[in-house]
Amino acid sequence: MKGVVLWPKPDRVPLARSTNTNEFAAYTRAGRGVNRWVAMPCRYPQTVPMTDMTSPRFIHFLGAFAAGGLISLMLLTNGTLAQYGSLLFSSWVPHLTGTVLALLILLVLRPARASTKRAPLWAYLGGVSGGLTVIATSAAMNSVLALSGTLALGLAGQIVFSLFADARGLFGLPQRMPQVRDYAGLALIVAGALVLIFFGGAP
Amino acid sequence: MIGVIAMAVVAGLLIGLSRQLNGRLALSTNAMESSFWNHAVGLVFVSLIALLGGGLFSGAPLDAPWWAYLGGPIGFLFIAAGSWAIARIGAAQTAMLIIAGQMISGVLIDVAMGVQGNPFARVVGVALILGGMWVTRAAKKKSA
Repeated sequence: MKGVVLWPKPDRVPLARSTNTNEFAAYTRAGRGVNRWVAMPCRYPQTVPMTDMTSPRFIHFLGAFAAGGLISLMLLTNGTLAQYGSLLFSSWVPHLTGTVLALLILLVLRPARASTKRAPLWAYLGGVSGGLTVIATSAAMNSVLALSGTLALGLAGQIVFSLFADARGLFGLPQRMPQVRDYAGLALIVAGALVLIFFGGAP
Repeated sequence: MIGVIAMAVVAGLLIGLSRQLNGRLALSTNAMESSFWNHAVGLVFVSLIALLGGGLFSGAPLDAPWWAYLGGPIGFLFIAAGSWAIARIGAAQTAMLIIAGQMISGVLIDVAMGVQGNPFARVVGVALILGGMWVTRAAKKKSA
């Protein structure tokens, strides 16, 4: 079936349209209504089209990069809190203040929902996974691994999970096969992170 | 030893899992609402653990500087940004950009606060990370 692309499920389409002009062109060619869900000729081979759709534009790129900067600030605030109170407290406080702030922002801005369809219940469990992360991290940090070992192994876990999640389109997010340049970029970033983690301390 | 190594790797897996779930929720709602649920559900979960384990208010948490209490608002932005990005650029690129941002800002904060460090390793590490980001971006321009 080379050169033929089955359109993704309905709830994935807005993303494809918003991030990729080529797919948008194909979408309009196919017409609206039932016809857009049928297999249609496409000049991309089967495994390629998703990469175009998911190539980061500068704003996405900047957003994710800035989010990384926020983690460093959070490590500073929560880590300082943990020096004075218990470890659980240093996770409980940001959850509490974050919930209050989020509620206020939702009430004031009332952002529109992307879909009228309800999300599956399991999609609400990200906070449980986040809470467990705190426990697993603190257990590992208080062992022989220390902060550097915990960070490095955590990076490995995150990378492996994200590659697998992308390749499979886990939990209903768009599927995309990681490309050679993804692995190359990833290898360099991980190498740089490991240098900083293990050699960046005091000489 | 195997146990703690597994624990650290699992922590990384859980971070990815959390971002994937929040990203899925944002697909049906929006990034801000997804961040709200992440914090609200997380608050209930951490509170339950505190009730079971106790010791939540041990130590002298009120002696901490005021800015140490600002983790919540930062976390709200972080989760919202992650949920927004993962649906658009995928889990792997989101993860690597967040890692890159974390590492580089970490070095900047260390330098700003005068934390001792190996300057050579810092330069090499940051250069490698910037190089990795450039590879992802540069290759993209040809296909776009």
